[in-house]
Amino acid sequence: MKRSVISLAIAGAFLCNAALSYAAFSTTNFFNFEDNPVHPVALSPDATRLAVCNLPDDRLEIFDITGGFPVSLGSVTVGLDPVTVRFRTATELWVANYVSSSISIVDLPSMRVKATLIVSNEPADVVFAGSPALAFISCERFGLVQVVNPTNLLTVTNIAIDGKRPRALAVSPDGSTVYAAIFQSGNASTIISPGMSPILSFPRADPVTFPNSPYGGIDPPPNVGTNFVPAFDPSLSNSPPPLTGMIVKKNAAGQWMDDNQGNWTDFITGDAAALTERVPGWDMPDHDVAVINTATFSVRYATGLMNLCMALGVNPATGQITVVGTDSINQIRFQPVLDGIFVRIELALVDPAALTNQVLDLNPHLNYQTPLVPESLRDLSVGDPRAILWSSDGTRGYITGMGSGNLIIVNAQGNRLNTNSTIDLGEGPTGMALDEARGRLYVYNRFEGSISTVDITNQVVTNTLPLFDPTPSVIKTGRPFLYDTHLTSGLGQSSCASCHVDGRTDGLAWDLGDPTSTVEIIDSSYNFAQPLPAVTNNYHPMKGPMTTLTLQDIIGHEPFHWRGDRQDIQQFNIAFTNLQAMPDGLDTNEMQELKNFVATIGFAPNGFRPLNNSLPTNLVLPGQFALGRGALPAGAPLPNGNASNGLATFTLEQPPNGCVLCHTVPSGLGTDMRFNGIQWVQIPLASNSDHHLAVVVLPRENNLPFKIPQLRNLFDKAGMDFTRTNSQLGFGFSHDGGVDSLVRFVQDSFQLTDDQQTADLIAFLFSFSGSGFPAVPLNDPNHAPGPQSLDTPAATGFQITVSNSASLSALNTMISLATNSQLDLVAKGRENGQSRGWFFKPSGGFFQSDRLAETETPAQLLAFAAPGSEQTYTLVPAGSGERIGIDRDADGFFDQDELDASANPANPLSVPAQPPTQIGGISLALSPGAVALKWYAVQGLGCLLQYKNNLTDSAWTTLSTNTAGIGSLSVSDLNRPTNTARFYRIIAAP
Amino acid sequence: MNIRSPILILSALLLAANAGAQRNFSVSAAANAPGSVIVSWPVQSATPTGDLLVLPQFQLQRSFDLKTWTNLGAPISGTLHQTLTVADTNDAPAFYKVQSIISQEYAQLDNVTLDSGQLSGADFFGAEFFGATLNGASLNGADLSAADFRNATLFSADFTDATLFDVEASGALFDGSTMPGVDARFGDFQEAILFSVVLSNADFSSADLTGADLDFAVFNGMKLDSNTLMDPKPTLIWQIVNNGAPGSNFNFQDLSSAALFGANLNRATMIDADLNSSELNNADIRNANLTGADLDYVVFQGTLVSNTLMAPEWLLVWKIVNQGATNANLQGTNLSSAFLENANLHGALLNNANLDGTDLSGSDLRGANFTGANMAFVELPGTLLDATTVIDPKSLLVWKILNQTGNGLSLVASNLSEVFLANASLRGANLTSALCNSSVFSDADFTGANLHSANFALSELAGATLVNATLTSANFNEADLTEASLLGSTTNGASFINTTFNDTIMPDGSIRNQ
Repeated sequence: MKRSVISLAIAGAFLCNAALSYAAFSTTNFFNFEDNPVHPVALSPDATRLAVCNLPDDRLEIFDITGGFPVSLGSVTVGLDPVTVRFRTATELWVANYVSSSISIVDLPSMRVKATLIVSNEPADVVFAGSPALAFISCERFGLVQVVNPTNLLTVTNIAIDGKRPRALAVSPDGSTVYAAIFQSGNASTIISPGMSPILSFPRADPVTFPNSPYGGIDPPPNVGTNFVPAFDPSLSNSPPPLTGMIVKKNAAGQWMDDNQGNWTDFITGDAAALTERVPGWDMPDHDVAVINTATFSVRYATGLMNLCMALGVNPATGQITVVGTDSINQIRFQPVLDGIFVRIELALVDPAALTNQVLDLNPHLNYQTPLVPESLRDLSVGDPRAILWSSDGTRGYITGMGSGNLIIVNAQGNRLNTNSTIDLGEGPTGMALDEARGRLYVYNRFEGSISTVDITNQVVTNTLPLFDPTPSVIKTGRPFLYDTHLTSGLGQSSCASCHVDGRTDGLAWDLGDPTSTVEIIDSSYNFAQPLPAVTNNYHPMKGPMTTLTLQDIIGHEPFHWRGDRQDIQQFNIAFTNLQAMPDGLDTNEMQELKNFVATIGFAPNGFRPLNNSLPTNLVLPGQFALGRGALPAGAPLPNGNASNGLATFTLEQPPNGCVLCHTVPSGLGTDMRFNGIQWVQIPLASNSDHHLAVVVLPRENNLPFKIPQLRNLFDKAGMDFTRTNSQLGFGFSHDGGVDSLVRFVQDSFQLTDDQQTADLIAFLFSFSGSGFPAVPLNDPNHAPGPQSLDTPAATGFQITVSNSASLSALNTMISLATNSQLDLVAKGRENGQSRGWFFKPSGGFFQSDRLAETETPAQLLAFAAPGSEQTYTLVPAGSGERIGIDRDADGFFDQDELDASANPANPLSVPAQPPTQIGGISLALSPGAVALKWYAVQGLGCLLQYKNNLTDSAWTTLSTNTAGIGSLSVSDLNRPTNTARFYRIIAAP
Repeated sequence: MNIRSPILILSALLLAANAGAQRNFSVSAAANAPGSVIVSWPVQSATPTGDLLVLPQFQLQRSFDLKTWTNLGAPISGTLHQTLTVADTNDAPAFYKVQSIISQEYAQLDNVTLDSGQLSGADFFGAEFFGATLNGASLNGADLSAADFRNATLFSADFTDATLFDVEASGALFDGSTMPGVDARFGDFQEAILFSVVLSNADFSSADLTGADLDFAVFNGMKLDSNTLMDPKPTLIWQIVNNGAPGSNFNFQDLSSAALFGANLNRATMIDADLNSSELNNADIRNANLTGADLDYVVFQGTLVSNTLMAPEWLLVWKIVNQGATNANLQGTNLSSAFLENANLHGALLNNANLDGTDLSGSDLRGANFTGANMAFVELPGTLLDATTVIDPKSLLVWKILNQTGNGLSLVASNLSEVFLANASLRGANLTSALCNSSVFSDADFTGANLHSANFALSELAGATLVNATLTSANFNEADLTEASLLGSTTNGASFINTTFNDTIMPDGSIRNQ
């Protein structure tokens, strides 16, 4: 059983790089946004160079692959979280930096960033298409494809994509069409829900209970005929389940059906649509792929493919659009029914003209009749697919499974070849590049931080090259428990990340009720917030639909779930066995490792706030429409919002209606304190360090307990719309996603009618993440202090590239931000033709260079900027500036000092002039025909360099002997057989 | 849905008649040629001038027997005031009618005005009426399922037999509306004002009436089920009305402001119960025990009383109401807070009687003698007085103001303290330095009046109109100006210490709440 977190078998030419695990990386110098690559590997047009986005290191790595395996030529620092690289020409690459919201334009011969293009939020992919060729850049957050003229870097147009999070891009073979996969496209499932009423009102009528509903008003309806399967636990006979909504899904005939073939079409789109708050004709087009005409920029959509369209490619022979991703069966109710089978891994083949499609299950060996199959079958599964790449003749499609750690191959019809095995790669394989001339496929293993070289003829991995990876070990250790589908599921295709995608959400609601379970009684450890109505003292197992919650910044904010019914992440262990059908759950240590990892996942910079992280005062509110309750007619766009005014509304203390009575800043969560009559005091942590964030019971929820939810990702939920016939999403706000818009939420909850006041409040809610709020006094009983938020200021990642000294004002702005907020400022550029780095020291007002002895004033540094010696300034999370700017391996020795001393700035064990106390710091570099090995020698201590071709060989062969003084020694092994593994060791001479 | 409203109009051969949902609607029919009839009518809005235009479609129908009606062509529509004409080839005697059809499912009518709209039978399924005003509208038979009436004002609207299934009406104002036979299942009426609404035979199964004001609501035949949410007091009233309560124990219960007419309370025990203002007309309280009960303003008309235990003064009130009190000797009696509306007190001796707050509206007071009676706050609208009535000058002035109007009267320095002048019309009156403290002026009209230096301290002025009035140096300390309008008034030197402002329109048009 493959259970190891760090793979022990490094198929390749060495054994020594475990030394990298000594790196002094932690969350103090590494902020984890938990972004994942989109197109992180690119092959140069002449097939001699491989470019790879080293996402955690914020660099673009360049390799020579003429030898059939990658040989490093160096790296270039780009922006934060580079996720995509594409060659525009043989010498120019464009890199999409997801957090920086920028495109780094890299000159390959000189290995430098020559320009930085600021784009809309969260650029994910870039392709070049059309005639003349234009750059098409998918920008996820606001649903845009930006079109840029690559010759002058001016924006040609912004194409609004009618879908949530356009991500992966591809181009038709003739270059006339760009395809954009809509990552969170939904799956034509939606909710029937009571919606929202004022907080102290009783819930509104639940359409499920209407006598004209398919079940005559029975709530919950049976899920199999007239029965519940599995049957109710006898103990529930005296505990009727709460009234809840229903999830329905549109079938091929356009009928909205539940999991028991109940037909709700009339309630969703028909004459009775008003009974579910919808307009007649309401629909969810379920756009999956945007098809963009590069000449006219008109857009068509392919629909009905899957829920998460993770990656796409175009078959160059047929022009067929191919999409890989996952589809969920969230319309099926109850956790015992969904156990192990809740997600399918799919490949969609889409005709580029008619946009008709065929969707195939990429795991045909699974029949989903059982939640658990033998390990041999699990290992055949592919999970969390993140790339598809076609051979030039269109007969082979290569698909990586980021969660399953493997590679599968399909034929032109989408059927898997070699159904008895997969090609195992490193952890988290994502993007690929195909060198057909040499028969090699290169895969970036995101979690492991390595590149696998696959011999596509023999379908074996011939080389795995680790990249320098500053990811803290706490992340690497716990991450597999979120993603690894083979490790954590009974069928090998699912994991926590199937729903908590990239640590976030799938945008769906699930009814994970359990008829076989029992009522859980709430004990006194729960912290019920003000006001204090009577508590309905239980958590019923038939909880009804609940939307998937993000995992960002949850640790330390216990309890969990919408209802607060899990007091600790340890209580989620049951999900591994009872929902993912993992044969055994995690042990206590593994759960702790998962917890430690999840604790690192923070929120991205808020794209609604200006660079100084203040609240915007004139914010355009995309997709927010009046409901007709104020002066504006229904459907009119809301006016621009003033988030500062919105904050004032939010913090009004008008019991019981003030938002701030429950939601605290800066997270929106409830307080972790109790008011003792005089002031707020911290509730003591539980023995396992769990917190006690507030839970509230409100009449509108039938006085059932709910945790006060955080408010930092509200824009991510926007997209459902009951007032129009083309809703992007099927789920919106509130625990079951039953409130379509934030406008309706705030107006129905707090009875606002003023359009401007509504706009202001929404502007504030969209601007919520980013912290920076005024401190809350401890003695105001209506205004509780809240827990801190793991987020970063709005300017995080912001960068500019300058080529002259005239840009001092822009630089001064960045210096001001680095001085006055939680940001560091780094610079990369050239001095005297040499690549250099700098880190701004606010206390001294100067830039520390990557040579300890060198500092520069801002003006002095800027004076080095010139065409060919451009400088790129980047604001990075506080604490990470020194690492990113001047000390890549965080070993305390600055990068240029290390280079000056022939040390390796990407190896924390390689340091200059450090008299080692023992032999160590071994590293190696591959070149065609040779392996160069370097290590530190200890004065007076002789050593032997030895090797084995197989670790099972009985004896080591001595390659060289050395007795040397202090410092780095190197030896080249010229006799290693090509494409074979060899293991090296250094021992003290006898 | 798609309910069509029969509205109109019979036309016997060539004669048109008016009826139904369209106000002042006329149809004409004329012989065009042998065997040909021209029927024509003007297009007009279903709402009065000033409201939102609602132009129906029209369907002409013909009948030869007034039983079977046949559509003539498809529904037609036109522009406002356009005359629509339909020719019918027919040479037999026939009747014609024009049916108006209002089909506005899902209409966006937030905040519009549809007062007095003739919207009977209209189809407003799923329509949005948030904040709209439909006072006096005719919505009988209309389909209002899933409509949104939150914050809407619907005073005295007619919802007879309308469909209000799953309606959203929390906070809506339905005062005085009629809702007999409505289908209000699953409706949300939380905090709605259903004051004095007729709910007879309405179906409120699974509806939410939590917090709704149901004072004086008529519950007879109203259907509730186990899922209906309603506060305990109206629930109790509903049970009494619909299930009867003979022999029940209501000691100390709050049964005030309840429409209990016709209720069976025989043998009920209501010791110290609060029945203030309740309607017990035609109720059976024989053998009941109402000892200590608050019976202020209780309506006793037709109430069956026999062997009933209640305070002697209330038995006296019952007698006056039901048996009359012509020439009766009521000297020194306590009739305060009694509901004696339309009582016959012709020639009654009420010397030294306590009539504090007694409602004598519509009573016959000719020849009555009120010498020495406590006349504070006595309600005199519609009462009959003549020269033989002996009454104090202050009460006589109040009577004149109420029954002959006080418009333009000179009331300089008059004493109008502790009087009941609700709904009085005092437009342009001169109340300079008048003593009006501690009086009831609710909904009174002081438009253009001069209240300079008048004393209105502690007075009730809720809903009063003080538009363009002179309020200089007047005293409104501790007065209640809830929903009063002071628009355009001059207030220099006026005193408003501890005055209640609640949705009060201030001189500059702003709304004040305090």
